[in-house]
Amino acid sequence: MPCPDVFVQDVPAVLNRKGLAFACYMDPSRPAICDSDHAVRINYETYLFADGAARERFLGDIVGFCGMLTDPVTKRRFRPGAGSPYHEDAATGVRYWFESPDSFELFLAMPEVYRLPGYKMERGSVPPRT
Amino acid sequence: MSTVQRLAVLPLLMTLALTACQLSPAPLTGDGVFAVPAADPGRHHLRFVDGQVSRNDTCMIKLENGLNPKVPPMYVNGEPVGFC
Repeated sequence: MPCPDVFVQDVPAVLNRKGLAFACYMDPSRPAICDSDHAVRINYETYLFADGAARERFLGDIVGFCGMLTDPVTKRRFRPGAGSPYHEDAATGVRYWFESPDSFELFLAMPEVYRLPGYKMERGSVPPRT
Repeated sequence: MSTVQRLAVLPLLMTLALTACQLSPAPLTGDGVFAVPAADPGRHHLRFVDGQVSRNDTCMIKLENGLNPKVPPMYVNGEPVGFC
């Protein structure tokens, strides 16, 4: 499974293993708590918060706060608007926004293809360490 | 085909091209992504096409591997993390 696919399925665990810390998305003066209770995944993006109140504030206006997202079909970055189509995936609980109705419809037709980034690499394309 | 006929089909061709662009995933070329100079050449951050620098200097999953510019980043709190 490609590394980005592994990553997006349990971001807090991977960040903790790697030792990367982030500030709260809603209040950068406070450190984010890196666990599933303080994380929200939207599309392929993850948001971490200092407490439940910050998380709830974000969830109250996701489009207003989320910034750029990655369209799961075209893989392009875009900024969702109030009229952007979205879908809550019942299998994962992840909410996805789409840059166009075409992306939305393709995702609904084949969610298993687009839930994860699925970036395919050529064999041997990883640069060697020196 | 006359000039008038060519002009008549132009909007159709443009619509088809736009639709194709919207439905095609971005190719994994790594174009525009480059390694930020580092003391250890195996542990360099990447600067992505959006201008941001990766938070990590080795892969998030295979911890010993350097970052691969052909793999698009994932974003945590709006900041990119890279992969191998």
